[in-house]
Parts: sequence; C-alpha cells; structure tokens
Amino acid sequence: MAEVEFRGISRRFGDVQALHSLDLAVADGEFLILVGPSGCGKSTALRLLAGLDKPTSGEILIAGRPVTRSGPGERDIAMVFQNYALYPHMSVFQNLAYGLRQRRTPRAEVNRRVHETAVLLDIDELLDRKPRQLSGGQRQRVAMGRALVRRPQAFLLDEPLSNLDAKLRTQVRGDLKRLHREVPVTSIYVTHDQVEAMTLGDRICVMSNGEVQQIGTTDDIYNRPSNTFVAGFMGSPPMNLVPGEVRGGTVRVAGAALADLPSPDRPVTVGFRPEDLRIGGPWESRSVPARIDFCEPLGSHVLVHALVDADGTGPEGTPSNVIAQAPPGTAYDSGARVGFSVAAGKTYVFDAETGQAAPPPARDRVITA
Amino acid sequence: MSVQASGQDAAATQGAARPGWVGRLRRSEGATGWLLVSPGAILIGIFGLLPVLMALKLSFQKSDLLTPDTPWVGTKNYRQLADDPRFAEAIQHTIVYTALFVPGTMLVGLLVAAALNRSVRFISVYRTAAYITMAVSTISEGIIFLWLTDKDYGLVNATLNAVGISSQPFLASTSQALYVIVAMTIWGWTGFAVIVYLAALQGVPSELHEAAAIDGARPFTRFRTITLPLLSPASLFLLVWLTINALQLFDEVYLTTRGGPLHATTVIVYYLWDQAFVQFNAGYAAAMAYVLFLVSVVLTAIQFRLARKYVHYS
Repeated sequence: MAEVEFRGISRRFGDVQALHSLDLAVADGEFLILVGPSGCGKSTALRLLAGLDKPTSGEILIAGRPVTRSGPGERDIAMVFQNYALYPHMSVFQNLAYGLRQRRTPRAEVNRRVHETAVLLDIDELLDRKPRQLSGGQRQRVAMGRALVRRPQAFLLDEPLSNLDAKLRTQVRGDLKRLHREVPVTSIYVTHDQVEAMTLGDRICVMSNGEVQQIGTTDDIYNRPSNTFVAGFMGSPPMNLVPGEVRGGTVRVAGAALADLPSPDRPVTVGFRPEDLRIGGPWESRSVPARIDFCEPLGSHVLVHALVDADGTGPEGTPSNVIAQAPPGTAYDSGARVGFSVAAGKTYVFDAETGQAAPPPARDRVITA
Repeated sequence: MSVQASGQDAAATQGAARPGWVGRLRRSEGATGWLLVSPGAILIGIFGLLPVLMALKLSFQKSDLLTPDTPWVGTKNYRQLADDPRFAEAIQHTIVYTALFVPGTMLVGLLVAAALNRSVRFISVYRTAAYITMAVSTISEGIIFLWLTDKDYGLVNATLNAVGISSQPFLASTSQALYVIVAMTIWGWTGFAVIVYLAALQGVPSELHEAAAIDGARPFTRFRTITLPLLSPASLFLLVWLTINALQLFDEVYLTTRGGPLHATTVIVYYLWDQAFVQFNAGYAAAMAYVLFLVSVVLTAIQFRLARKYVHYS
C-alpha cells in the first residue's frame, strides 16, 4: 500500500489539452473515485499513473518515489480494465499467475497465492476455464483477482463495472466495497457513473474538461457542490438549476423569494434537488410557478417534470425544466399549473457567470406551500 | 347464387390443401435456393469436378494424350510411382522446399508485419512497399531473380564481389538452385503473409499488451506470450495455404531452371508436367497428381488437428 500523488500533471494531445496541471494526493489505503463525463481527463489521469502514457509536464509519485519516467511494470501497480483485458488464450489460473511469473515468483508461491486469491473472490472452481467460458461477472472477478494476486501498492480501476448489466453491477459494487474493507489497498477508480462514485469512494474527485472541479466526500459533493457542473453532474436526477436573481438580499426565482443572501443585487443560478421540492398550487405564496410537462412513475416515487414560467425562463427565453420527486401515486395532467416550494436549507446559489457556489452559503427562508 | 358460392369455397379449400406441383415449386424455398446457386454449381461441376473425376479415371489408364487408345492398366501407374527414383527425388526436393519456404515466408511476413504495425510517418509508403511483391507476376519475379543472380552481371554477385566473396553460380548450381528458388518464392509471398499478419496484429486488443506491461512483461515477452498465441488463427491459415502452394510449386521452377541443373530443382508438379506434356505419359502423371492430392489432404488434416491444441480463437 502507498500514497499516490499527481503534481502539476498536464497532458496535451496535439491541440487538445486533456489534463490541466492536475494536483491530487491519494492517501495510503484510500479509495478515491475519479468521476466525470466522457473526455473529462479521468482515464488519461489513470493511464498516466499506470505508465501507459507519458505526461507533457508534471510528476507522479507512488509511495513518495517519483515514477514519471518508469515503465508500467516498474511501478508496482495493478489495473482492472473496462473490458477486463483477460488473456483469452490462457486459463483463469494462468491469467492470475502471469504477473507473478513475470516477477520470477517461485512456483509454489505462485500456486499458493493464486489459490488464496481465487478463494477470496470465489473463483476457485473456475481456475481451469478460459475467459470465453466465463460470464461477465466471473470475468470481472478474474480481472480483480489478477490485480489482487500481485499485492500491488495501488489498484487502478478503469470503469470496471460498465460492461455488466444493472443487477450484476449493484452486486459487484457491494463485492468491491467488501473487498476493499478486507484488502485496504490504495485504489483509484474511474467511472462516469455518479451512483458508483457516491457509493464506493472514500473521496470523490469530480473532473470536467481536464480540470478538477471538486474533491470531497460523497456528503461534500452532494450537499456542498462547489459549482454548477458538480451540482448538475452528481445526483440522479441531477440538481435543478434555474436562472434567478439576488434582489434586496433575497434569492428569487420567477418572482418567488426562496432564501436570504446578504449580497449585492445580481443575476444568479439557483439550484434545488428534486427530493427537496414540494409541489403545491401556483397561488401559494413564495412558491415558484410552473406548468406540468409530464410525470414518470418509478414505483417508489414519481418524477414530475415541469417548466418554470415567466421570468424563470432561460437566457434564450426557453423555459427551465425542473424535476421534482413526488410520493407514489402523484399524478398531474400535462399543462396543469403548480407551484414548487423548496425545503428549508436546501436552496443553492451559484454565480450566474462563473457558476461557482456563492459565498457565504444561502440562509434559507422557511417556505411552506 | 349460394351453390356458386359454395362451389368457389370448395375450390379454394381444395387449392389451399393440395396445391399443384407448380404451386408447390413456386412456394418452395429449396427451389429458389437451387435456382440461385445453379449457375455457379454448373460452372464448378464442368470446370472443377468433371476434370477431377476424369483425372481419377486417367490415373488407371495408359494415355499419351494424342491417340484415342487409352487402355485400362489398373493400379500399375501407382505401383510404378513407388519404384521411380526421379519421383522420389522430386518428393525430396518438394519436402526440402516446403520445409524452408513455409516457415521462411511466415517468419519474414511476421517480422515485417510487426515492424509495420505502428504509427510512424510514411507508414502507408512502407506498407505499400511490403505489399508490392503481391502485385508482381511470377514471370516478372522469375526474370528479376534470373537477373539478380546472374553469374556475370547480377547484383547479388556484384555485392558479394565487393565484399571479397567470389561469384556464385546460384541457379546454375545443383547445390544452390533450390535454395535460390526458396528465396525467390519467399520474396514473392511475403506481401501476402504481411497482409494476413498485419490484419491479425491489428485485431489484438491493445489492452492486452497494456495489461501484460503492467504485469511486468517486457516487450519481447509480451510478443512471445500474448501476441504470438493470438496470431495463431492467422498462422494456421498461412501454414495451410502456403503448404498447399508449396506442394504445387511449378511456375518459378519452369521459368528459371526447368527442373535443372541435373534435376536439382525438379519438384513433384514440375515432374508431373514433364511426364504429362513432355513425355506424354498422362496416365502416370494423373496418378502422381492424385498422390499429391492425397498428401495435401492428409497434411491439411494433420495441421487442423494440431490447431485444436495450438490455435486460440478469442
């Protein structure tokens, strides 16, 4: 186990700057998630750490040792690839043993460690099979086993669950969490799935356009997003972001006063999460007027899609779409006029131009529908 | 009115239950299939299957290709093959040629393909240069090698002379001619092997190399333990294809040495041609052709049998 550190790492591909001076430290034994949309630089960062690519500038340290110029085999890391990258012509045993054999591990030790790892991952019955004879979940476990068996200083995982179906993904997510508890190796996990990010990581690093947007725990990221990107990316459905304004120390959306904010008058972006919204009549005081678009019943709850009216429209005059999470059985006709109110302490305010969270945090008015 | 209607119904019911043979043929998928494949099947039958059967019959006859008299001789032609020292010699030359040509072409093709499987400037120029041997006709190939290996004016001897080695007879030497033909045909087939291997190399996922690199394997180990096994389907294809072609070597021998000097390059098919069209001993040549055919089938079967163990399909 070891600490991993990126110091001012940049990577440019021709005219495209994939990473902008990344500074990131991962503690010994920590499970860090790199999350972001496609092209945000998360996989580039992982490949640079693995030694599969060289940075344009900056330095990478593993256990305090600079490894920027070391080859992948010299870094003592292990990686689980998105498509598992199991050697198709080798048995599961040979796949697990390959790395140990490259390091000239004695045969008896190879056998012992492979069997030990296979038992840990419950793949000991599969050791003689070829990868093509395995299911998706079994392949995933073999890929994990190949990483574990070498007892590396750090695990790198590049979207390892993305090839699994939804049910299996949930199960393997739990397995990964248990595994990290049993074998607490420093792990860096790349995903674009914010549910994986929030459930698995000790900390989450949200990236966009090659830059870190925010690093923090799930609670930090979800409840204290540093900007509109993080607010809109994390959460399913994501945070509602609508144009609003600060006027007279009050945050307003479509004329409705939602929170107090001691700040000069200015346009802002106002955020509120779907589960923090209550739907009432449009005539209720201090509620945001909206028109119902459609409802999505999901069994445990209903997602109500609505369009915010009047001066809550977007900059180009398009109404802002708002999603509210309502109790099961909720139903509205399309076009019905309603009013949204936001739970106390759950209004987020961002600068309209920079998208950064407005300091100091908004002190909400208690609004009841 | 009602009678007419019921009569029509009856006819319709009868038609639906028992259509005529024309109707059945029209509806039959099999008939449509046969119609579609028949032009090709007829051509193959006339120009492929029929000569094969006629050659089989010929191998049990004595024929000079000129007179209509083709007496039945039973297995005499086959028995005669067993006692023919020139046929034994031709077999020996064919084995030596095949044993050098097949692995030689595969090795050179693999090395060139591996060298070309990268992104460097002008890569398409290099690849075209490697493929170009495929576009060279066998006649041109023969002329090029006759010129290259000429004792007095050849480029190879000029180069040897420049480094202090005396001129070699090459195609005029009983000990060198077969090896020159091996080199010539390897050169001629390299483009084909390069294309096959390059396509296969590009099908090996880069993640496997990356995973092996992270596992600590060095480049040559990665090539040996990951790339080579994954190229095995391509290698099997080349092994079978090149072996069949090697057993059928004729053009290059005909163009350069005519089986000489002193039969040193007489291979099976050249000897077969000599027997059929020079000695006019067509029955004997047909028997030889059938022996060669059986050898090819057996060798291919062995290769496929071995492939079960050594060829990996991902």
